[in-house]
Amino acid sequence: MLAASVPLFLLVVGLFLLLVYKPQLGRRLSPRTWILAGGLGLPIPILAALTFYAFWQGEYLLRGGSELPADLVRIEATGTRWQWVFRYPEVEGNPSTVGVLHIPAGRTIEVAVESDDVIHSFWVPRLAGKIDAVPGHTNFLRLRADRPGRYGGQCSEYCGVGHAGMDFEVRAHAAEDYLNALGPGEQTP
Amino acid sequence: MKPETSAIELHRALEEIWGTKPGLTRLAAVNHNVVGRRFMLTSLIFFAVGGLLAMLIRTQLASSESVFMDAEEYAQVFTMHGSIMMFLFAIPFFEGLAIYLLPKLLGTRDLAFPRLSAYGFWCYLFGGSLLLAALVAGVAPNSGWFMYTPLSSNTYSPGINSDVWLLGVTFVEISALSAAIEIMVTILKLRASGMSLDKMPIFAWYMLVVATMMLIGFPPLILGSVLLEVERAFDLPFFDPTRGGDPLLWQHLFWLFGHPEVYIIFLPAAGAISTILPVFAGAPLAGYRIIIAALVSMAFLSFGLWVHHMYTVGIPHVALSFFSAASALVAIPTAIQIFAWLATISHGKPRFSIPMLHIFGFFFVFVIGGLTGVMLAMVPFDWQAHDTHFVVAHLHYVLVGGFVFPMLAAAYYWLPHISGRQPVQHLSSAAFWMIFVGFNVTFFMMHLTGLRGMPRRVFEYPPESGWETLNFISSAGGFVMTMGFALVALDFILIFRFGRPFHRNPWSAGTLEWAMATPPPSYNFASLPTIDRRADMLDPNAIGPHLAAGNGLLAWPRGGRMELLAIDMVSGAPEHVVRLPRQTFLPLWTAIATGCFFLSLLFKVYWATPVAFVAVIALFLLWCGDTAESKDVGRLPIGNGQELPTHIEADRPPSWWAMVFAITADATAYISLLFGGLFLWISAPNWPPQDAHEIGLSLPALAAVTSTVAAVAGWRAAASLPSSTGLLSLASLTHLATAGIMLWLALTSVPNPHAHAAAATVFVVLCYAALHSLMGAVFAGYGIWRIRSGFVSHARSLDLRIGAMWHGYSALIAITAAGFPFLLSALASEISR
Amino acid sequence: MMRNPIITIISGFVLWSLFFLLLYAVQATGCHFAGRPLVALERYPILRVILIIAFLLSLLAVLIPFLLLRRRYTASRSDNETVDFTREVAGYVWIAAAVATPFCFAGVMWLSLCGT
Ligand code: HEM
Ligand SMILES: [Cu+2]
Ligand SMILES: [Cu+2]
Repeated sequence: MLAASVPLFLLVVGLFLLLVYKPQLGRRLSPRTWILAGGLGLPIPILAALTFYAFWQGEYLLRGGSELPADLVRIEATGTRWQWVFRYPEVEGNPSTVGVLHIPAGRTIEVAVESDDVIHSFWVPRLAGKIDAVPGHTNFLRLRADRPGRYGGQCSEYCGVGHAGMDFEVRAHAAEDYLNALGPGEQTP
Repeated sequence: MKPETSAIELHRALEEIWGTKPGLTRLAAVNHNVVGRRFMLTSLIFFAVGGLLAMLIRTQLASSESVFMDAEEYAQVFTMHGSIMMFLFAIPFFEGLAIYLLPKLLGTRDLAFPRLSAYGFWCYLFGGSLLLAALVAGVAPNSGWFMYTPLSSNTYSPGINSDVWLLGVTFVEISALSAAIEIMVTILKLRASGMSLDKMPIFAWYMLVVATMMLIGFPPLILGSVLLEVERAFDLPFFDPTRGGDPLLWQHLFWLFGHPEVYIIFLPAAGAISTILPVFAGAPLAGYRIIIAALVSMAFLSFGLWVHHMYTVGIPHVALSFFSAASALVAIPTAIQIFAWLATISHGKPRFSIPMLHIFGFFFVFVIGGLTGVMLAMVPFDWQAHDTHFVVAHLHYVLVGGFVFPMLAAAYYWLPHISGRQPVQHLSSAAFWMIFVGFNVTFFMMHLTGLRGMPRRVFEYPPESGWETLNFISSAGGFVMTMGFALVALDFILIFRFGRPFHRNPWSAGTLEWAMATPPPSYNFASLPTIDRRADMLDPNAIGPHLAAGNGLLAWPRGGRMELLAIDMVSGAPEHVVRLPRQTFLPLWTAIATGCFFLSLLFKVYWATPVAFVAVIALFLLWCGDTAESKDVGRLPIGNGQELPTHIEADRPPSWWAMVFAITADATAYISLLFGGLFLWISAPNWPPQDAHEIGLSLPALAAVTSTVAAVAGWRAAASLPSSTGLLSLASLTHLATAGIMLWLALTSVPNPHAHAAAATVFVVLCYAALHSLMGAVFAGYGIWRIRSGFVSHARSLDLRIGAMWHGYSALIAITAAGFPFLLSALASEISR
Repeated sequence: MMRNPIITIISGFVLWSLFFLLLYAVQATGCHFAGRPLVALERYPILRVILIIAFLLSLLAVLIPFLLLRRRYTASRSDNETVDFTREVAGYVWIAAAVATPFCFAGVMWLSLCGT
């Protein structure tokens, strides 16, 4: 999009300056041609292509950036003022962590996002887009980390005075370490 | 030609009637020149305050762990910055410009309802002051300018802060709605003779579209604010998810207003460009008709994309796609306008001057804002960029590019008109460059911090985030920009003090506002023009003296009355003579009463609320005395051998249209309310409600009957003058009965409205209907009083015909309201499965 | 047909708005009946069919009057400038509405219907 925007910007501003100083250059085109070419011919193909590409890309991201596998890892994230609580219903003992989300690398995770109080937004910039935690609703976000590592996350909907500090961390583990990380005694960072 | 002395006499006679008297009587001013200037000046003061708050924000963000403000102070500052800029600066400023300019561009002497615009101004001033007072007292709103619930609800904002926003902004919105009606009616009905739709100045087309958008766009916000205030004050849970409400309802209502709002702000600015640019290009505006088509399309499209502010709330992708596609499409009408302007330049002999410089600023900045806007319209991109500083950058590129720069161009262009003096060019371009460079430095950086993940509305960020340098540069740019604005202010003062007076039409424009003396006399034109070509290709230098000498229409004042010409809205053929009310303190008193109404709510002095409400209604009824005629006037000569009836005896005068538009706005709010109830059924958690509705059929059916009788009686009354008092009494009684039934149902049959949003919604719908029927009773009673006092006759049936519209409309409201509880409970029980 | 040309100008987009609301409402109601809490990303063939029908209806509803309007305008030329103006503007706006309809609603053909 950036690649398309820069030329478009230069085109319009360039034309403006050019025409103010040398209007005769534009006189060959009738006003009608100007408007049809610039107002319809130029934007319509670009916008149509962009919009439909974005639809396709959106579907792709909804599935967590790959085909939707049958064996999703399901995790629950709850925003409360001003921290994130994560629960792992599929892990034995139903563990929970605060401020740190453990995930297995290389798997698609489905995070069920909820809120206990006001609206928050769950966002791990490097792994996926954001999804709001709206009280009374459960929203789903699918993400995956291809390799183990730490990824920063933060609340991105204003939720009161603690908003700026409402961050968390995603720790992606190799498959064999994942359950260990959630083992007893490891739960709260 | 009349002799020279008589032109001066004419001027004296008109000024005596139209002019604002000195001293305290200034507060009684209703003239559009005065009110328009007041609007603009006040909004500039608010702009300065908003700018100051922006500087506080930038100071705070200049370094990573700044201790300049704490989180709460920062919250109040960014909330007030956003709210002031949107509600107290941008909208009132263009309203003021339109109020000032439109009558002049259209070739008439004043707006359709001068008292209404004065009232609007006072509402704006008082509401805005309320917000400022809260800021000074440290209890300013603090949940962001879109006030998302539940953060803004009682549980999480127990203080007065949110109430200040809800009540203050609603108070101010009264002025936006009244301005919308005022502008629509003025453009449609009060143009110069011969100014058919195809000859309207382009600015009038822009404002017609904008005013229509305001008429539809503001009611959802007002409704949402009322509901949220009712939830906060009386604990009816519309937005509370634990009791069947839904925070998303607020978001829908807010953005249904909020997005069109952006175009409402942009279009007047674009209209100014379409007016100014051709003058400096030395060629008439190219693509007049295409531009108008683009405006209309844009108006509709802009109502179909509010959800692009809600891409992340969990709406399914297919629904997002409607809004995303509409958001992309709305770029096309903008592109059409931009290329029409380029075409205009290329077919003229362009010259650069200060307004053109600002138009260059517009092109540069706005195009960037538009491109980032298209990016954000794409759902996947927005999932990343939403609520980051990228959005902050985008919205400022759009608002400053699309509003501030064009309005600076407009200010430099029309300042000679207001002041009668020409710019002294020295400071102006230095000021422009400081603003331009400062702006880009400030906000371009925010694209980058946003893409690097900096969320908006954070008062501090970790030093290791890597955002600090960019933020520092951005803050530095902000101060350069502020100094630029200070220079502009200085420049304006210098123009007023030292500018050279000029004779007429300094820019050689082709529009009617230059066909008058500058600064303009209160009545604009000593006599009214007749137009035979597009109203931006006229010759003010010839028309001006011709009209000043009294050679146009309605030249000589009659019996101290303020007279205007109303035309057929399509063909521009003269239709009737409008007689305006004189200067009066009533708008001020009514606004004060309205203010008491809002204050009583704010400070929870609820016994005073109905008192203030009745006072407002009573004062409004007093407004009507002024234009009444106690006997039939017949046809009046308007000059050129033509004769026309007065508006009281005309078929569809401005006030008739005002009622049509007022009902449109009211219906928008009502439909939003009904849809809100259905939305809760679809979306809200904790449905269905525990206790079902047990409303019997008989009372709602009775209400449907009584309201229908009221409507029919009201309708017949207008036709059966002079013996209508009986019918009107019937209408008024049946209205009262309807209102009584509605209230009875609301108070007795609805299950506890505090317990569940379903009951709360039904309760509000019934009260809404009761209020409308009560108003119907007032209208009917008013009609009786008018007949008794001899102000109504067969020829002068206007009051009754306007009332009849209301009677019919309130019957529709009552019937739908009576059916609504059944619909909702049917749906609710259906899903209990 | 219509006395006030302003109505002719806006009616194409009024239709578009109505269908916009209709489609959005059908989609939301459909997902509502699909059950709650929303199952993420399920497929609902019936809802899809209904939406596609509504989409096709919207196309017809905008295209047919548009073509009729065009026929009428080309059949009778007018030398009144105002009439000429309103017809030209109405024509443009109707074209815009006719393009906007498929462009805005085509997503119903394949995008995920319910869930996030
Ligand atoms: C004078 C130069 C201006 C500066 C330096 C400035 C700066 C800022 C900054 C830094 C923010 C982000 C606050 C945050 O998210 O923490 C902001 C928000 C905002 N600004 Fe401005 N601004 C300026 C002018 C304007 C103008 C002219 C308008 C509108 C006409 C405007 C409307 C807004 C709005 C609506 C917000 C969002 C407020 C919110 O998040 O609740 N600003 N501004
Ligand atoms: Cu949060
Ligand atoms: Cu928007």
